[in-house]
Amino acid sequence: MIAAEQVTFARGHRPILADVSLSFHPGELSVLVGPNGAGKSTLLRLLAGLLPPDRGTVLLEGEPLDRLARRDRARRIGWLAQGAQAAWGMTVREIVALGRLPHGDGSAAAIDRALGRLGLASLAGRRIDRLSGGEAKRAMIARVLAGEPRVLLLDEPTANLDPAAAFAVMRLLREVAAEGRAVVVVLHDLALAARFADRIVLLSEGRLVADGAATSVLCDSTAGRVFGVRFGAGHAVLPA
Amino acid sequence: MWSSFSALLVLLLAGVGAEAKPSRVVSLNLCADQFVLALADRDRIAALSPLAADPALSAAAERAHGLARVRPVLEEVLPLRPDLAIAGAWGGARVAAVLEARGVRVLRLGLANDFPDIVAQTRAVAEALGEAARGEAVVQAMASRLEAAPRPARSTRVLVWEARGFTAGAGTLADAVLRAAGLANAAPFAGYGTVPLERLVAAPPDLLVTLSASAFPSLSEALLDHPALAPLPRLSLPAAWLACGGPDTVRAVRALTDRR
Amino acid sequence: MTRALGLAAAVLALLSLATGAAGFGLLDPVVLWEVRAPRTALAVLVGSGLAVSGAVLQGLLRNRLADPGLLGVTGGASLGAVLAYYWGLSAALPIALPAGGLAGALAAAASVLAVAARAGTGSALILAGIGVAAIASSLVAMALSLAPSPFALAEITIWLLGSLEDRSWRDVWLATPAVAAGLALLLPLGERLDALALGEETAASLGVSLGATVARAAFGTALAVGGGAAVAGGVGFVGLIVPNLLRAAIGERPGRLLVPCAFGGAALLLAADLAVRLAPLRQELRLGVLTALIGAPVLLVVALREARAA
Repeated sequence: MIAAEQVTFARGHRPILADVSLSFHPGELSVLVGPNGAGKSTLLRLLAGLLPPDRGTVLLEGEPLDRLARRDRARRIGWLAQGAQAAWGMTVREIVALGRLPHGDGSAAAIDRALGRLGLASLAGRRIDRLSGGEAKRAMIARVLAGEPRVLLLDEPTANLDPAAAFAVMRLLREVAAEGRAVVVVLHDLALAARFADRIVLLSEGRLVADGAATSVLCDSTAGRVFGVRFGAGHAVLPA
Repeated sequence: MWSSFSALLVLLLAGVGAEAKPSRVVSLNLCADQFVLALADRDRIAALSPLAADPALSAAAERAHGLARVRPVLEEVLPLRPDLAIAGAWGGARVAAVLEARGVRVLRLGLANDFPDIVAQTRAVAEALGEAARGEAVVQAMASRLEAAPRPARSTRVLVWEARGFTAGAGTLADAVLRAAGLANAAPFAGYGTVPLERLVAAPPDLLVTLSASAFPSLSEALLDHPALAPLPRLSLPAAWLACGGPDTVRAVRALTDRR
Repeated sequence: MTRALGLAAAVLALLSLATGAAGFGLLDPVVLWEVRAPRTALAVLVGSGLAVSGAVLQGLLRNRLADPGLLGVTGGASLGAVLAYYWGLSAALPIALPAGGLAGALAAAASVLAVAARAGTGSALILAGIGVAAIASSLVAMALSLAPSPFALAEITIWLLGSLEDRSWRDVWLATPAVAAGLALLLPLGERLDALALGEETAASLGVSLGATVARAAFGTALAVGGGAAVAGGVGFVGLIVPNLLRAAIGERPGRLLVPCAFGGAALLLAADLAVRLAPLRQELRLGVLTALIGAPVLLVVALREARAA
């Protein structure tokens, strides 16, 4: 339901994405993987409408993104920045409530739901700058959920999370996708990707290299070549 | 040839013996300007003080046009080779000292706070200029103008107010002017001080005299136009008339009495 | 909290009406109406304008030290007002005075925002602001030295530190439209500032237009600060003190601070103006001296805390 069609993007003279076409559908948890500088975060930004592509278009449910009103886009797409941080010591509830901004309502129900799903109910009144890195990250994710968008674009939501918390978040994102939303996540942890993704998209140097199930993408000839690693049993990542 | 030479010698000796009127007079001070302009021949005036032609501060501004002005600094005064310098009590002290060391007569005028002071200073300047007769004439003119001024029937309380609420109390020149005009000074102190706006409004005088020193806007003088003062009877005078005690001070007295 | 601040402001306003050179108490009606009431009204107006501007700038730039004075906006406003006043422009056309303040404030705000766009919103921004403020205050000094009136230069402390002495209703009418318009632009920015707390891109993803927000913040600040400085001179530190103090009591969500800051700023300036009238000195202290006495320590504490947290 959200698709990039032949998008190309360059920053100054540096090309970042070249002729990438992808579409993501509701019910699907897709994971973007690739080495540093592959263009994963940039692709996410293009999908979110934060950057305009130099060439090509981004379509949201069939309509070009740049033709939609700002608020409309914000209601339907939720975006989590990499390393998201709050500039002020706002409470967890206040941060999560920001997710309701595009809807113009401070729907306590939606906020409470989001807090509950991320296990933050008891921390709702605490200042975010007094929480651990993992707890703060979960608050940021809850903020995206609170907006109940149809498309979720999350850039490294499991960074700073311990393995148990990372699993919990990925499990939650699978549930969210199953509710009929399109969820696209950038991950560096290939094992996590293999375990939870319905579909893995491999990018390298701005180009689409592979797109499919974990078994087809996370093999020596494809992802192995791009990352310079080998894959062992159960998608275990081994040095080349 | 011997006879022309001796004739020349006689003339020179005669010149040295006689009382020569100073012919290059320099005024180093705003207050001295007034006296010099009233008493000296224009072609004997070498230069006046820098503010002489400023109508805001100099009562003799119109008469000062066309005459040179110098700042009271050595580099500007010495080239004029003055033979008489008139200075205030403290300004231009270094210049005065150097001139005296070179044999130039320097007349120092103090602050004239009342009409007797003004008269005394007029005579002193006239004597230094060698214009004693003219001096007496000026003194007489002042006296007759003061006499002729009509006196008010009953005593009116007047406050003189300048920029920033600056007020002249008892013993000042402005006070002498008020008394000469038959008015009472409403300022509650001696010497110079400030009356804040609120006190002025709470205990208003019968007449507010405001002195304006500049035609240009300033916050200090904008105070004089504060709306709270609108209902007060007032008279606006140029600050120049009360800046210095001199022959022109009488104009302030006449302005006050003519108002009745 | 807002109610408490409002009450404090009301009490201080009453005290302000009762205090002055003519004696304590609500005595002479002329003194009350023509001298003390305008002064009180201006303290409320200028104080709230400065405090709300500070809160908005801090939210926009995500920097606790952002303040219209520190960023040179107040200095620019004073410069614009001085140029309009001493050369007779405002004597001919009264609106030229707040217009001058607005123009000067806008110029300074534009310079500072240009730096922010290039160098980010951290300490480089504050340093640039200090630079703009220094340029503005030296230009004010030069303008006053060159002004036609002999009294101009002596009035420099009013323009650089601020004063409400002897202000009249005329000054209130000049300042009110600008400050009111500024507040009208600034107060509704709360939601956007909240979103900006998560960063500019996240705010954009939430539907907040950064360009529109910056424009409104810049214009609103220029109006509120420019209008105030035109009649009261450059009072500093209010925009720094009030939001930082209230944050400790109300919480750090930027949007929640705005209205309380309006009341807090009014209260602060009323208190400062009372103090300058009560101090037994020959000449009334400038307002900026008092606000600096409170503001400079606040600045140090906030700056040190920031450094420690970094």
